[in-house]
Parts: sequence; C-alpha cells; structure tokens
Amino acid sequence: MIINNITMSIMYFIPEIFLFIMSMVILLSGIFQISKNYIFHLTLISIISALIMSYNYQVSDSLILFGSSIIKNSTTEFFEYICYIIFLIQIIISKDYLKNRNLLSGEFYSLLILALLGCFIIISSNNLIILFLGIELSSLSLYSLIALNRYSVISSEAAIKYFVLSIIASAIMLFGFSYLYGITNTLVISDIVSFSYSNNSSNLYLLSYVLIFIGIAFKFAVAPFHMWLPDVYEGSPLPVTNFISSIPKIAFFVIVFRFLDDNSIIANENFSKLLLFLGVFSIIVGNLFALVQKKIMRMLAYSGIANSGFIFLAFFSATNHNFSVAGFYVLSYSITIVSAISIITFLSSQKFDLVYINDFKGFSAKSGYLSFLIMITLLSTAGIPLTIGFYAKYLVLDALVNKDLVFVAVIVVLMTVIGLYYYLRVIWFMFFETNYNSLLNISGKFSIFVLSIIPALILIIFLLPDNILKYIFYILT
Amino acid sequence: MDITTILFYLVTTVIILSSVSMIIVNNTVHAALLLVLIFFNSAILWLMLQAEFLSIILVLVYVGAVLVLFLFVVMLLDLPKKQKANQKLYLLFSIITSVVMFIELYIVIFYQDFSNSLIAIPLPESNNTYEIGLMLFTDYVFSFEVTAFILLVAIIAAIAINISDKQKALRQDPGKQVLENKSDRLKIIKDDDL
Amino acid sequence: MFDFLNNFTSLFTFFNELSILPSTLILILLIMVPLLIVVAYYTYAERKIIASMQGRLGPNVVGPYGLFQPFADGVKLFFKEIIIPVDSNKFLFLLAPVITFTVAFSAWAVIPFDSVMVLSNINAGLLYILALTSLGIYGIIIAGWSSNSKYSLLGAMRSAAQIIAYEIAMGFALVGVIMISGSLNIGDIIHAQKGSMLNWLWVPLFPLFLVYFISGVAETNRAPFDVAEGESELVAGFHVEYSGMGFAIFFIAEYANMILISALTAILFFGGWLSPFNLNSLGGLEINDVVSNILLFFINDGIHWFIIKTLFFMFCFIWFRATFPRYRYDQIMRLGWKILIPITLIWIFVEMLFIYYKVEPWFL
Repeated sequence: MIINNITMSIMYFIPEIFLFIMSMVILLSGIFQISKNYIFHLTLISIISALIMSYNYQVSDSLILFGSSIIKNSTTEFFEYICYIIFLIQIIISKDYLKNRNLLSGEFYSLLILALLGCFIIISSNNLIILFLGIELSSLSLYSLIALNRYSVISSEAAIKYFVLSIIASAIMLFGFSYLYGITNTLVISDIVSFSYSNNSSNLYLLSYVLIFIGIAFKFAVAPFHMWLPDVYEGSPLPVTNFISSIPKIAFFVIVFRFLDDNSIIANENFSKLLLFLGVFSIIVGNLFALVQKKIMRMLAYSGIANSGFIFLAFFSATNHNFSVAGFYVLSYSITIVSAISIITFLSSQKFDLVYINDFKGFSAKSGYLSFLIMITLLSTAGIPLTIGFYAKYLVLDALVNKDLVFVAVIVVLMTVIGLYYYLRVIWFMFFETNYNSLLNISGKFSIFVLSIIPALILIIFLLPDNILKYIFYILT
Repeated sequence: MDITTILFYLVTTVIILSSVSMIIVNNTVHAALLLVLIFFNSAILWLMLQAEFLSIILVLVYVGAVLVLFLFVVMLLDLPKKQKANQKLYLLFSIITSVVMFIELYIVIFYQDFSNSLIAIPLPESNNTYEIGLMLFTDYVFSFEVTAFILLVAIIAAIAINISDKQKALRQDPGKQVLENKSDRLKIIKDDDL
Repeated sequence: MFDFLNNFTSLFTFFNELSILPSTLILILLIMVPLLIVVAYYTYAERKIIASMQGRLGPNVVGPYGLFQPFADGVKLFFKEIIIPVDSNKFLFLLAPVITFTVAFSAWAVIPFDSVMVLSNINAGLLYILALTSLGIYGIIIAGWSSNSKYSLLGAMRSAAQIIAYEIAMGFALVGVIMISGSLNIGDIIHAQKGSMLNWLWVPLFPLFLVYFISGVAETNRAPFDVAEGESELVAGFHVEYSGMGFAIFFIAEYANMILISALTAILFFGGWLSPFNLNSLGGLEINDVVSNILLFFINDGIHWFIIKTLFFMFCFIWFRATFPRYRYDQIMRLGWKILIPITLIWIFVEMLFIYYKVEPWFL
C-alpha cells in the first residue's frame, strides 16, 4: 500500500518522531541543573516507550510512506525491535562508565538516539536518497560521539580516522548510486532491483553495484576496507564502540538484503567472486592480526573483521529468497559482541580502564559468574559448539560446501581454528592464571542481571536453532 | 560549434585542471581557493543546464559560506612551509590507481547506452525555483526533514565538542556591564575627608 | 572542402551569437560610469557632511566648495607606486582588489532602476544578489592573508567572521520579503508593493527592515561595525599594505557596496521606483498647464523616486558614522547571533501565521 499523504504517513511514523522529539528533550534537559541520573532515566524511559509505541503501531501489510521514501513491513519492524533491545542493554550498561568519566550528558544520549534513528532510517529506506541520508545521520552522530571525549588523544585520533575514511566510503557509494540512477531512471530500490537491463548496460549496472558494495564493505569493516575499525574500537568510549559494533551491522544487513534479494545480479559470476574474495580475505586478515594484539578492544575489532568476513560469505552463498543464513549470522554475531563489549564496559565502569588482555589475569577468583559469562560470549564469537556462534558458522560452511567450494571452506575452518588461540587465551588468563590479583572491580546487581540475558540467549537458541532460522526465513520473505 | 559547447569545454577543462592542482598543491590556502574555482565553474555548468536556482545556491552556500570558514581555519593554521615527506611515493600510487580507475570507468561507460535516461528539461513558462520548492515540500519532504536532522547533529556536535565545561575562559557579561552603576565604580573622595 | 565550409558556417554562428555582446557592454558602461561618479562624490559628501556635523569646513580648496576634491584624490592615488610587501603572495595580492571590485559592481546587473531599466531581469534575482554580496568577503580575506602582515590578517579574520554572522540575519530578513511578495524576481517584489507608501513592505516587515539595514551596515564594514579596519587597533585592517590603485579599488568597492545596500533597502522595503502617493486617487484629474504636468511627472513612478530613496539611505550610512561610537568585537558578535537572528526567526514565524490566516497587510 502506497501512502502519499504526508499526514497519513506521519501517523505510521510516530515511534520514530517520538524518539526524535525525546532526543531533543534530553538535549535540552542539560540546560537545567538536574542530576545526571535523571538524564539517564529519561533516555531509558523514552526508548522503552518508543519500543512500546512501535509495537502498538505494528503494520499488517507492507506500507510505503512519504511518496516512495520509507517502507514499513514485518521485516523492518523485526530488525527495529532487535535494535531497540540491543540499544536498551547498551544504555543500561553505559551509565556508570559514562558517569565516572564525566561523559554522561544530555548531548551524549541525544546523539546516541539520533544515531539509532539514522539506523532505523537505513533499515526502512525505500529510496537511494533516504538511504544515503540515513547513513550520514547515523555516521555523523557516531563521529561526534567519539569526538565528545575530547581530552583523550586516542579518541580524537579515532574520530578523525573514522570521519575521513567513512566520508571517502560514502562518496564511493554515492558515485555508485549516481550510475544506478543514470541507468535505471529511478531512485526506488525495489525498482532498481527488478530493473531488466539490456546486455550492454549490464557492465555499468555491475560497476555501480561494486561501488555500492565497497561502501557497504567499509561499513561492515571487511578487509581490505577494515583499517578504521581497530582504532575506532580502541579510541571511542566503550558505549559508542558497543553501538558501532552491532546496530549499524544489522541496519546494513537489511540494506544488502534489499539490494540483492530478488536480483539477477546475485547469480552474476563476477559479483559473487567479489563477495567471496572479500569474505575469505577478511577472515584471513582478521584472525591473523588478532593473534598479536595486546589490547582487548583491538583483539575484538580484528575478530569482528573476521566475523564480517563470514557475513560476506553468507551473502555470497545466499540465493534468491533465502537470506536466512546471513540474517541468522548477523543477529547471532551482533548479540554476542554486544554481550562481550557490555561486560567489558561493566568491568571498566569504575575509574580503572580495562584495556589490556593481561588485565583479565586471575579474574575468576574475583567473580566466577562474570568470568563464566565472558567465557560463553567469547566461545560464541569463536564458534565453539553449545553456542549460537557455532551454529551460525556451521550454516555458512554448509552453504559453502553445497556450492562445491570445499577448498574455501577448509581455509575458513583453518583460520577459525587459528583464531581459537586468542579467544582461549583470555579464558586461560581468567581461570588458570590464579596467582594474579585482579584489579577489576564489580558493582551493581541489576547490571549483572542485564548482562546475563544475552549469554542465556546464546545458550538457549543453540537448543532450538531451527525455529529461529525458520522465523528469520519467514521474516525475510 | 556554438557558444554553449565552447563554454562547456572551457568550464570542464578549468574544473579538471583545478581539481588536480587542488590535490597536488602544497599550500593549503591555494588548495582552498582552487576549490572555490571548482565550485564556481560547477555553478556555471548548472547555469548552462538552466538550473539557475541550484547554481546560485551552490555559490551562495558553498562558496559564500562554507569555503569562507575553510579559508578562515586554514589561514589561522601556522603550517610549516616545507612538508614533502614521502609525497612522491603517494603521488606515484595515486597516479597508478587513478589511471587504472579511469580506464575501467571509461571502458564501462563508453559502451553504455544512456539514450533512454531521463534528461531534465525545464518546462516552458515555469519557474525553476517554484518547482523545486514544490517538490521539496511534497515528494521529497522526508528527505528534506532528514537533511535538517543531519545539520542539527552537526550543530550539536560542533557546540558540544567546543563548549568549555570549566569556566576558564575570560569573558565579559554584557548584562552585568549594562546594569553597572556609577556608584559601584566611582567613589568621590573630597579633600575635606583626607 | 565541405567540412571546411561547415566549420566556417559554425564559426559564423558563433560570432553571430557574440554580437549581442557590444550592446550589453554599452549597457554595462551606462550603469558603471554613473555609479563610479556617484562613488566619487559620495566620498566628497561624506567628508562634507561629517565636517558640518562636527563643526568643521571639510574639503574646500580644490575647485568651488572643494568640488574637484574626489578627482584630485583619484589622480593622486592613480600615480602612486603600488608597493608589494616582502614575502607576500604576489598573485593573490594583486587579485584581491580585482575580486572585490568585480563582485561589488556585478551585483548591479539585476537592480531595476525603473519599470524597464534593468540590465538582466532574471527570475532568481534576489538570490543572485545575496550570492554576490557573500562573495565580496573573498577579496577581503585574500587581501588580508596575502599581504603577509599581522594587522591585515587580523582585520581579514574579524571581517570574515562578522560578515558571515550578519549574512545569516540578512538572508532571513530577505526570506520575509520573499514570503510576502511570493517571488525572487526583484521587479516582481517592487510590483508587489504597488499603492501608496503604506503598501510598501516596511510597514508589515518593520523589524526585518531594521535588521536588514543594520546587517547591511555591518556587511560593508562601516561604522559602527568597522572593527575590521579599526584605526586605533589595526591601522587600516585588511588593506593596510595596499597603496596607490590597489587601495583606491578597495575604497571604490566599499563605497559601491554601501550604495548597493542603500539601493536594495530602497527596493525591498521602500518600493524602489514606486511613488509614495496613491496614483489611483489622482486618476480623475484633468491637467493642462505645464507646471502641473511637471508636478505630475514628479509625482508619478520613476527613477527619481528610486534615486531619492537611495540617497536617503546613503545619507544614513554617513550619519551613523558621525553619530555612533565603534562597537567592541564581542558586542558585534553578540548583536548578530543573539539578537538579530532570533528577531528575524520570530518575525518570520509571526509572518507565516499572518499569511496563513490571511491578515491584510501581510497577505497580498
């Protein structure tokens, strides 16, 4: 159903508009000399009420709002809920960390909400212009969030690196958009995807897709477009890292799905070679570089690069109307990394910064429960059985083998096994280096409860993966 | 060969030459001024397509405001005069990359048939500015609003990064200055008192 | 052979198209030469008026009442040596006055002097003027940087910050004008003010008129906003290193800009060439004698009204200079950002409500 009327369209867009208004309210609440806790509670309440609102305004069929700008259907809503829930966990964990570093302020949370809004706009964009604007809205908020920590040298460095490189990626993407528009004469993504090009325009169509996927690969931090990720992970405040690591990935997954599903280009040999190359190269680079890292966030960044490689392999192995493997991988990886970074945020929420992997030494003596949670999340990122990470990786490898790419599958497995070393090292430090006195301190019962939600999910979903996979398949068709 | 074609080639040549020299040139102020030249010539290109509103807005916004701030910042930087470390290596790589990219794009685009592309032809007797305004507030209203969000984020970020949380800065409060009385500042001491 | 012929004919059409150039050139000269003369006598008028306000005589030696003083000054500047400072950027140093001069004069292309007397009646005329006045800053900023002098750099920086701050208020003030007249074409804006002097836009847009004129004074770096060339601090601001013709060109451009702002204020808020009297009420009169005819001609719309209005605002510029003390720099910024811009924003909002509910002087 296409709704051109602006007032009618706004009716279906109320949760997002409410979030925007609340972000302004949170920003302006800094004018009054109120306690920082109130700002935090206001943020929490507005997120929860926006979630409830978007649940109430659930649409029954696919809606196209504001001319051809925005699409709302069950797919977009599902991914928006996931983003909401992840965002909620991040916000709850971020409070003490930000408060002890003098970063807790109205502008921080309002920019974070605007970044989330940008991701929502990406998820529900139906039009190249809106897509680009959504990307810019979320990225611009993120650059400024990193730069807000302005007394820190590494934060400024990370912000500048992220800004400059991301702008170049956006420019390349926009270049691709312009060619797509030149060939297809339309900005609407679904029309572009179903465009039947003549033989001699297929090359330019392919070229514009390659340019767009360079931009997307940058956002996923797939090697060789991964250079920014370690510095950004290391330099930005941990709640921002937490955001960057998960929610934009979900948003960009939806966009890749929109661009590739039902598109004949997915069968194009050259294009799938590109995806395959990006995936395998990224797995190799990520796992090998992660081995030598001394800092926990840099290690997680390189492991993120390796996992993004898996996501691209999932895109490579996807066929028309079957993106469920990629969707499952993105979701499982996002919740796992959110769990890992949330725990690290929680552990460094007092004045002490958890920077080095060595800081984990002897942690199990201090809190066996938290070390157990860390172990579960790290094992899930590594892909050890009994976690969803394993099932997601298994699905990707299975798809590769089905495509007769056994050699590639062997390389990928080999790299993953090599990668086990740096995950297990952390676990070894925690449980077996018992003669160290850990400096990490733990406070907050509620936070620990929140932190244990995702590891529980990781274990539970492993028991019934097929239902989840079927549900994602149903959502994506 | 009519005057528009000659003008087109002239303008595009200037754009390309100044873009290349903008990247190569060492002096940042010169680079910013070359960027001004590029924008100005792009505005001429738009003017030749009869998009006078866009071209004037380009001059007004980019040349008149954005690049002035650029120059403002660049001129205040005290850059060392010679900084040529490794520039030749970068130049070599960038030349190779751009040549390869150029050939690729040329091959792809040369065989592309653009004949069924939409070409914007201004309606006769229509007002360009009026039509753009109408489109912006009907079909593209959502894009328009999101653009406003983006600018808002830029404003918030710029202020939040630069605002001084400690009251270190020396500043005068005009309100206090106005309310100042003569008796607060001036004390008349007569000879008799001494 | 045929190719050659083809090329030849195409070359011919090229020259054919070029042939409109000479007539345009003559029109441009017809605008520029009087303008230059006005600029010359504006400087004379400034010195005379300020002198009389301060109880002095002013220039009175060269010619009767010192009337040839501007030409004497011009000749003096023309024959002076142009000194290029050491380590300055020679090309930009010489380019800066050229840019300032070009920009100051090219804005006059869209100014209508009469219902027909306009060089180029383009649709987006107001935007064109706004764009070109915003370019004027380049001359200043390049001059300040390329002179390789601390004083001129500081002057250029002050001037740039000030112009950007006041340009926003100026643009918003113009938005109010556009909202009422419904057009960006300057001719249409004047036509929208037809009627008596109470139909001119200064009545519904009085706050915007004040904001526009104040910003105009600030944009031209004139007193009381002349910190950019504050003699007591920066010697002469951005053009401290210029001598001879370079200085003269900056001088001419500054005065041409003042005249432009006056003319624009007259056009946008005071009806341009429209007569302040309601001509419809005179419609029934039968007039035969010569004196009444001349009187009627004077009362009718025409270029003379435009000139009178412009002259009044030009006088205001001089008046301000003689009256007000110079603002401090932070006061200028405060006035621009915290007072003028909010006033324009609020007034635009109020105007929007008036137009939406079709209240009379705002809704045409």
